[in-house]
Amino acid sequence: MENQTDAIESKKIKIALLGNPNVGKTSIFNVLTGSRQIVANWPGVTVEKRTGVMKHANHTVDVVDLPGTYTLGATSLDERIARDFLIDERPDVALVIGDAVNLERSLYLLLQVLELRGDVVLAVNAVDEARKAGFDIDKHELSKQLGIPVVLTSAVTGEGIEELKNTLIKSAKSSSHVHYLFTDEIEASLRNLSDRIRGNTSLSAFDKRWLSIKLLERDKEAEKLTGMSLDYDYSIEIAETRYKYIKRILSTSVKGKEKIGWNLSEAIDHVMTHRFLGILIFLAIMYIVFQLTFTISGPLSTMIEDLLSGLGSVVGSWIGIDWLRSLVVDGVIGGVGAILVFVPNIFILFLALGVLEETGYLPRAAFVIDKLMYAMKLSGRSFISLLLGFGCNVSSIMSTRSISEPKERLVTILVSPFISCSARLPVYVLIAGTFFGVNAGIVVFFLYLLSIVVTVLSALLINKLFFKGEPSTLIMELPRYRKPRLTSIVLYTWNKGRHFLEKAGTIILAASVVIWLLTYFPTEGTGSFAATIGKALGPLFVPLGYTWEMITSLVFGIAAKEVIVSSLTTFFGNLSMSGTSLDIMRTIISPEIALSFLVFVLLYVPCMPTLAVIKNETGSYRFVFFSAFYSLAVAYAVALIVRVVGGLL
Amino acid sequence: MKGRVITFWLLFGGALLAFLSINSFYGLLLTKREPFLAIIAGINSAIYFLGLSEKRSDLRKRYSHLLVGSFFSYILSIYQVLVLLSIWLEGLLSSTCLLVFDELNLPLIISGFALSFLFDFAKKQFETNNL
Repeated sequence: MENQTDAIESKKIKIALLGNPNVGKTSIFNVLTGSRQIVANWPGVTVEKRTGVMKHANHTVDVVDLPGTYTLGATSLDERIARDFLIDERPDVALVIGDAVNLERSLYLLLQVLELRGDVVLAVNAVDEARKAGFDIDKHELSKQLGIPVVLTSAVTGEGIEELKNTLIKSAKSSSHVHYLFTDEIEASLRNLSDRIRGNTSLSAFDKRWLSIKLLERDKEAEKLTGMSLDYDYSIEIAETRYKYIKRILSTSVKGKEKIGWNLSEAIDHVMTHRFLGILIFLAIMYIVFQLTFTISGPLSTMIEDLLSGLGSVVGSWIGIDWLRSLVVDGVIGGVGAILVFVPNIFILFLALGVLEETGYLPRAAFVIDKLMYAMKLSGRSFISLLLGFGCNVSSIMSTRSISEPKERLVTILVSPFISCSARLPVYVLIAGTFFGVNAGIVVFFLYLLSIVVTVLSALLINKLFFKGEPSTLIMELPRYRKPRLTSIVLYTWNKGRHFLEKAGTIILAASVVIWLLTYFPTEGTGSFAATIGKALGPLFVPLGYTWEMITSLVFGIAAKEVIVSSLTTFFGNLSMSGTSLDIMRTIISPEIALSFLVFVLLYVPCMPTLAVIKNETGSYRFVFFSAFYSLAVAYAVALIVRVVGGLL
Repeated sequence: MKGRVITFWLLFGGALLAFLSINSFYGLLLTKREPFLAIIAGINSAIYFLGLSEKRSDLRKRYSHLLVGSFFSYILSIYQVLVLLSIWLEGLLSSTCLLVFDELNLPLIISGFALSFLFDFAKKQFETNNL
């Protein structure tokens, strides 16, 4: 008997975490699961799926962090994932995270979860911030009104977390399902529909009342599932009833100061989203970010470079065979090392972007830029996708799935590769550092600006030529500004930056060896295969003034843009960003050719993974070819202009 | 803080940052020539000055310009300190002192840190719902 109880006690429990975006859902997930997390994708889609394990009082609990949503409709991918998980996976408990400062909107989602299923727990998060703002939340009253357990929490201070864990375990063992009532007319329709659904045995797994509510809301998936379609639409009446119910609950359970003035976020937003200042502040912030990326990382890169140079000398002295020494020292250590030198740049860039995201500035940037984007027939939502492109174009293209308008999504996919990804940064730092000295940071900033300008102009052109229609409107909630937390920023930086390290150890290592082979055989230097490739394409690049080394590195760069740095390093021999061995390159090309080369690297053919993801997302090779040839044409034209104008100055 | 006092601080902050902008642009006093930093300081100055265009009676809006303007000045001084740190580290690696007086841009650093007190004050006004 005792063993049986233990078996029940230690039974695996599954909990689903739901909540609006920016309510601290992921923070609660982090404190519940600690480091026991797995980040993957939801099956068939590229929305991030986070699962973790919570150990508490002899129980092992699987916690699944569902995407943030405002409703449980089926209009967006995030909503569909959350809803399908609740229906198909049937977690033991649905934990809804609410925002203590903005409880009304959180309760709207909660009511929809309650319509769908029982065993729901509400965690009212950021209760410390609510208290600061003068709100007093009566959790007992709230729990009585809703008929479910309510816990007040703060993921930042840890308040209520133990109580939440206990409540979750307790709720997993109970079974309760509460309903609230709509107007008489709606209730009558619900009864009628429920009776009709009851007759359908294939729908026995679903909650009849919930399906009936969805039918009254004219939910397309519910209509498809039941094969029923109604002539009337009660969605507005149902939403009104929910809000009335929420107002009634809040009137007795939340007491607070009468709001007189602005809070801090509103005050900051008055300036940050100002119609003139907003854009200027955005540009100033981006300038500071890129300058910091360049300047702070300088000495750190030098340290890594010295270390690698020392390693090369030591390893070189161990190897007696000439070709093997060249392969290891010049090919492997030189090729991969040329990329590793830029690790500080990449990590500092992500650190800065992490701070901007943690503080809540990035959504403001999207808001500010929305007007400009709208003029280019794109929306702020496209901007958010494009913004991700500064990290990696692949993730930028994948994130366009949140854009509901198909044409707008396609345009965003096609222009995304113009956004300057982090893989291009090492090339900028190397070439700009070599040719432009103290002004290198400014050159890099201009390249980023150019990437934005070309992106928006291309969007306008593609829209004008191929698509008609208006972009979707951006409706987004601006989260409260928050003090960035060190642990979150470190996690963000590491998660984004490690991709770069993984690449260095895999694709770039392989590419470095291939490049070395092509440079060493059949004879080293101008007689090599690499030189043959570059010279064969040479006539095409005569107007741009590129040498065969530059042309070959561009060809290799299609595999991954960082490979351009490895290639140049191998071809020119021991290039370094400190400028000690750069005389060879400086004597071969002029600064305007170097700048034109940077522009070409920024704009030319997307890397292989990006082309592959364009094929996956658009389902057509047509767009892959379009992207490749269009970007090549734009790169050639702009690089030529830069070279000619630069030569005149 | 009364309306007239906020006007004074907005004018003061705007004028100070405008001076720092010109100073950095031409490299006049204790700084080298840095046109882009000058533009950033100019934007900071505009944050203060545009606060003056808000209605005199709407203290919240004027305060918000003071709040963001002074925070931005603080960020600029931190940025400058970070740049100096990297220059110092670079010098350390090559066993030479690369920090020269003109690199420091002391007026910008000192002003930013001084204005951070103004930011604290403005922040407190919003946090205590004093407006």
